[in-house]
Amino acid sequence: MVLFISLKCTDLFGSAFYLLNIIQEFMSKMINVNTLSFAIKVLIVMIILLIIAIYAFLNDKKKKYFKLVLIRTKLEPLISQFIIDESPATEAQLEELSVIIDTSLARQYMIEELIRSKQNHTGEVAERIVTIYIGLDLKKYSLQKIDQKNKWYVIARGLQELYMMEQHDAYEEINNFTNASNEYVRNEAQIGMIHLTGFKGLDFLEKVSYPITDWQQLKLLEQLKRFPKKEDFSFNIPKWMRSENNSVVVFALKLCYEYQLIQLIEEITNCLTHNSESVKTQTLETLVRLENDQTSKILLRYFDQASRSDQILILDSLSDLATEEDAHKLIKILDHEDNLIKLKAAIALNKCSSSGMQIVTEKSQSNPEPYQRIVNHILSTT
Amino acid sequence: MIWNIFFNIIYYTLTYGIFLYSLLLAISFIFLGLFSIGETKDYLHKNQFTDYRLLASSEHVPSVSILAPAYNEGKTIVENVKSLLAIFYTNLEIIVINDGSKDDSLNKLIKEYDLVLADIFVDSIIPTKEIKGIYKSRKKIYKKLIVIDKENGGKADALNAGINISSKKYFICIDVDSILEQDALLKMVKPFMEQTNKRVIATGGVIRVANSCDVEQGKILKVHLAKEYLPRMQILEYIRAFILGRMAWSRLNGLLIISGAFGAFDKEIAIAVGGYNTNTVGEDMELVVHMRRYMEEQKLDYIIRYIPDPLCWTEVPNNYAILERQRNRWFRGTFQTLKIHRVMFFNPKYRILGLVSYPYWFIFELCAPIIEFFGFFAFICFAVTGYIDWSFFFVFFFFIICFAYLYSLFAILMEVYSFNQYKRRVDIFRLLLTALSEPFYFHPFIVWSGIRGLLKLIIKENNWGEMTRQGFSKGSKKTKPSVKLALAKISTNQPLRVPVKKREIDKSEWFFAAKVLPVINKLFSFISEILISYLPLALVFGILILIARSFEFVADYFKHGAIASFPSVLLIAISKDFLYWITALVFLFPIYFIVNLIHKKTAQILFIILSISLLLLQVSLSQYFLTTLVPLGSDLWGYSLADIKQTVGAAGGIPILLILTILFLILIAIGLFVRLPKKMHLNEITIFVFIFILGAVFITPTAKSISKWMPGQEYANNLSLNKSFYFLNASIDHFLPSTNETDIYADNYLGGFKKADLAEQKIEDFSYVDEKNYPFLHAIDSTKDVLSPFFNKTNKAPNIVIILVEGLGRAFTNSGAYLGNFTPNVDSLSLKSLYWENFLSEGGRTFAALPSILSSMTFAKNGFNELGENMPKHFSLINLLQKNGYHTSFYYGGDSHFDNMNIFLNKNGINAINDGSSFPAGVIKMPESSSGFSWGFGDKQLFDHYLNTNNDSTKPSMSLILTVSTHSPFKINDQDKYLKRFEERMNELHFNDALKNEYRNYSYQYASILYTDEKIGEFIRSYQKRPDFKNTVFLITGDHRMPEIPMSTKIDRYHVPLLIYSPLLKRTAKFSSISTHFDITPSLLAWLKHSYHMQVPNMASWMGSGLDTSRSFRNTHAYPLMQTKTEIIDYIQGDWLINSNILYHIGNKMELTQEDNPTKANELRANFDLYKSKNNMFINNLKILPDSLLMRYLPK
Repeated sequence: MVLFISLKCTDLFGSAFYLLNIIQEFMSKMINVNTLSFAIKVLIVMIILLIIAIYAFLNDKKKKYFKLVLIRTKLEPLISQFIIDESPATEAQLEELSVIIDTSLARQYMIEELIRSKQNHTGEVAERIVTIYIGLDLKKYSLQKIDQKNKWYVIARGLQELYMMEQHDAYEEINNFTNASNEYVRNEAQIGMIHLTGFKGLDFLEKVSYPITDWQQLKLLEQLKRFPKKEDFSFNIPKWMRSENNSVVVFALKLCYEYQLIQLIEEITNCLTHNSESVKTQTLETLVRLENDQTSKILLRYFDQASRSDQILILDSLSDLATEEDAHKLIKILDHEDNLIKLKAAIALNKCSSSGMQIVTEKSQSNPEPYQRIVNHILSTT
Repeated sequence: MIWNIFFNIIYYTLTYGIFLYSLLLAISFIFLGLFSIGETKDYLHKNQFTDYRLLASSEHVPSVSILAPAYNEGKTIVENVKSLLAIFYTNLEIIVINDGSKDDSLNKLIKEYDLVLADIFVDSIIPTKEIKGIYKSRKKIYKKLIVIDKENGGKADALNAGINISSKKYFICIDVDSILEQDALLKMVKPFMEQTNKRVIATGGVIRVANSCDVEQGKILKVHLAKEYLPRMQILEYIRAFILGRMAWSRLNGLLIISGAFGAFDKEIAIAVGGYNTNTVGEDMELVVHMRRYMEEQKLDYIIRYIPDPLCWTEVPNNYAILERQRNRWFRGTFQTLKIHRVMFFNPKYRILGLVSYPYWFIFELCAPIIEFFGFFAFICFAVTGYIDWSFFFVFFFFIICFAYLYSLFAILMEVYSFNQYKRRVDIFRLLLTALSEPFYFHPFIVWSGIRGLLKLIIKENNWGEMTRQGFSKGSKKTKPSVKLALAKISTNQPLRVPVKKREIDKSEWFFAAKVLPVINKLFSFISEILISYLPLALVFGILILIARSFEFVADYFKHGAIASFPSVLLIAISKDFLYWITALVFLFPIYFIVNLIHKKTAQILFIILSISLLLLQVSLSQYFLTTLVPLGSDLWGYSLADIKQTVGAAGGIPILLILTILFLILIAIGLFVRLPKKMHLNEITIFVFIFILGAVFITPTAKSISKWMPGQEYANNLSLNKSFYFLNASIDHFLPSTNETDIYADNYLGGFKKADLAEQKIEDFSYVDEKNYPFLHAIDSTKDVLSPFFNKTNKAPNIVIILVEGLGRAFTNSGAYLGNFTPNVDSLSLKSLYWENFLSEGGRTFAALPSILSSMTFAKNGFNELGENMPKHFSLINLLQKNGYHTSFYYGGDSHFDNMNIFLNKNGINAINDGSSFPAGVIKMPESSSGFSWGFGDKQLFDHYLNTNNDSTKPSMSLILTVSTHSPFKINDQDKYLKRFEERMNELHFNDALKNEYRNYSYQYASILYTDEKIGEFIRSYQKRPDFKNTVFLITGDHRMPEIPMSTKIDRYHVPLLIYSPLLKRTAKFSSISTHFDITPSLLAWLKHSYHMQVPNMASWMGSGLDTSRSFRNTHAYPLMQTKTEIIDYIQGDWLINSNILYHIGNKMELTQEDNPTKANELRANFDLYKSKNNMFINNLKILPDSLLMRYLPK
């Protein structure tokens, strides 16, 4: 039987050994002077090619740099002239510019320069910058960039150009990208929506299925700050809070935080039952920000279910929010197993209750470690 | 010889190893390069859309603590802290840890920043050395600053203290003396804000070399390439490491290290792993590896981000001593870290971390200096000893240098392409030159530092080393004396609860990581799981093989005494067992694997059953070998079941005791199989080692070398063989022969060796008549009668008596026998005879004797007799002599059915077969063996039977008498008498006591020889009294040499004497030339035809061309020899023998020397193949002679 099986297997193994034989042969072919000398020749050719490439890159970079310097010396005075002149650019001036920007390098530089200037100016100057962009027919190139066939960074760049240059009629095109699979394209499109339409632009939150990173949320909030006239968008928030996309919920909470949407406090509080940790943390932060006389109760009620870092967050905020009524719960927390939480509870207790310090001191007498150090800490920091 | 082979194995393992290593390194460099290109491009594009200014002022940014450990930094501490305080970031805390400085660092800080002791509560989650005080500033502008004063405990301990005090979510560790770029902190923090479904647990940045740069007030003003060689070299290294290495690893999410000079970490995870490890000198690497391991073990998705922008500038050592210490510390740090986390090595549980990152670091970072160092010296040794020539050495060396240079160039290219810090052409040129010098100067130094680190590890000295920095402000020199690491044991903390996130595939994740890796992972984990359960069983199997081997050796010692050169036999035997073991494992694995897929337990049981069967096979083959002294090959398959029964019976059968012993052994084996694996705790490292060994054995020619290893002496060679391996190999060859025999009739056949070649070498050859139909039919040269000159011519045809003596080897027959002359009677006859001292039998066993001697027939497949009833009609001494009026008969004490002898004889129409059954009642048989078996009648009875029955003198007669007493089990009547005779004979031969003892292991064999010899003598003497004696010719030869006395060479088995003794002889002669059994019939017939005008055909299919009567040593024949019934692996031609493709030169005492002569070997092989294809043709068509010819001489 054994023999039979092993004999049956020989074919299978024959081929395995055959393969090993090939490897062996390959090795002996590789490890010989002729093969190695040939390989060395190949390597030397590659070395020479790489050296050439290094210098080619170096030269190319240098050339580009000098070209840009040249373009800049020509463009800068013209652009600043437009900005200072307080009058729209004339046909002749635009003609002069379009001669300079006949290469794509120069054109791109021109667009970037316009964007840079636009970022630093508002009002009439900004409008004039847009007219130059239109006058030089640069929009054509920006629209070319957001062609789907382009690389993601080209699309993202095109989107940026369009919204920075206030191309409201490109609204639809930009909106198409707000849930694009590439993060950077998506981000630029989202920012663009807000840039062009303010709070209305937040509509994309309904359809976005990709997470919105903290970084992007920060940028979105910054964009919104450009619109001082606060439209009421609070009716939208509960809808976003129910989003399946956790980052949308977090962002909605951040909006409540930022725009003090006190009327939504109930909906916000409900978010404490959300299953995402980051949502809960943001809920706590928002609740603290929108504090009212119920906040400390809500926080303390939630305390036991909170994660350690959220507990610390709660106790930190309670040192400002807690009242004499909360002392009872805080005293309980003093016996928490985590020393840091004990400390934070003691600090809050000390702040909210007239007898707080006394309670902690008493505890330190029966239980010097760690309460004595906690007392010392409170004494030394207040 | 053995040392040579050893050297060979070392050489191959090293060359292949180093080549494979270089190849792997090259491949990984290429991959790193490619990944790096992709990642760099991506990063540069992404960077266009990032405005870091936003971060600095927003309140939605993560909170960060900067941890800056300081030890004796008094000279620069105030300045350094000032630049840290200047960092603009909302939610920031700066913790400076004074690690027990002996200088005035602390006082300077207190004074400058108006610090006071603050009784801040410290929750010592990570144990550290005692904290002496925590200071905070009274000034509002410095409220971010916390200064910790603690007892000296080393960098790791200081950082741990910082972590304990930090109140922020993330911490960034920095070397206080490194220079940060303006937006470095923002760039470090941003990745933490970009986490989505993967937790970012750490980010790291590029460290750049600040030597020779213009620095003012903690800011880099202008970047220069370092002016000195060492820093410049390190710039190159850093470019390579950061721009190529880490960039690529970051793409794979496989980063194992974040530079201790500048890195950001998620505090929660860092605390969960117990912070920095104070027991290693590589705490920065250890923390990253530990955090990753933790995340993998918790099954949390995570990522480590790497920022390729230049963020942090640091001064690198510009002094060999310091650099040496730094590198040797790095080496030790890497070693310790990898050692601590060795469980991850090739452990699929850890995914990329275990399968790619860890092995890469282990093989290419940790082992690199060791491999390079020892590899280089080994190669030098090889070159010096002439094992490889210097040209190869230099070419190999140059190849490696070129490749390394190419890699450096590629790194420079990437640097120019991406960040282009060094813009001047001349700077780049200097970098290119520096890279060129690296392999000759800097790199050996680095390798040496690594080796020093290794030595240090061996002598277990943990020292951080001294780091003297030049100081950035010119003129001012600051020093950082050694920091002794505290060896305080760290108690592992209860890991903190980390929020669990479900592992999802990020849609934007890169294809390779998303699709390919998980599959590879799964497969790998699957196979390694099976291997982990397979290896312990395999190891037990190996142990049992060794036990079986030791039993064999012990039994051999008791049976046959001590063997010469035992150590080398033992070594070779173990190597061969090892080879068998490993081959068997390779064969058994697929079975195990497939069954394991269905049911794990069944697979294990099946493996145990299979391996025990193999072990039983091994034991029985050992037993066979110990009895017969030859390993059993495929000859087993050539015998019928009846034959086997007869042989086994002859050898003593299978007693009950043996069966019980075997059962007992099986039980023990099962016990071991069940118990031992549970005690083995194998991990991925063992698998790696096992696969490595497997590769080393099969990919290098090691396996071939081992299988060729031979202690030298034939018996020792056979003893050292692994019997199972030998048997299984032979069996596989038998059933699945490699069909590489040449088809000589194919159109493209270019010819083996032309006849002219044979003629040139004075080798006899035939002119074949009709090769396509009768492959062996040839004309007979009528002039070739060599015997006539020695015989007186008479009128009456002579009687011919052929005495074929079982096992009569030249090794112990007649004077000059190397084992001593144990046949005094035959010896004295030889002096009155024509005597061929270098004569050969055609077979290694009796099966070949009759057809070779009586009809000079080819072997067909399993010997001519095995054709049985299919045997074609052919010429033989029997039927041709019968045609000329002879009476023919055969005498044998045993059963003539054995080996189909009766069929052969009857086909030839023999007149009488007088075998065991023909003996009259009352004649005593030979004694029975323990199992009740006897071959039949002893030689005395046989000869008597002949003398009594063959006495009709009216007709000339031809008889063949086959003896049997010298056959295993060597039982003879009157055994004691002959055992005494044996002792006497040893005395006559003047043996010393040691020699006698050695011979006594084979006393039964020798006694039987002496017995048969005596009976031959008596027979001849009795015959001399008969009237027909004067007209009788006696031929005495052996059927083969008795294998039950250890043999010395491959040809020993065939080496038998041939005597032609007759009163008709004119003169006696002794011939040293080689002839074989094939030559007997052709020569006898030629003589009879010439001298007695007998009718003999002039065409025949004789294999033999006739006896050679040259007195000097030579061989004019080219014949195959058949050792066992199943294989024809020997071929002689001239004074050469080829045995299983190994070429030997035959000396004039029939001694063999292995020779490496490919031309000769090919020549013999070609002729051997030619014979084999003719033989195959015969097997297929069974045509030996045309009917017309047969009809003429053998009418029905």
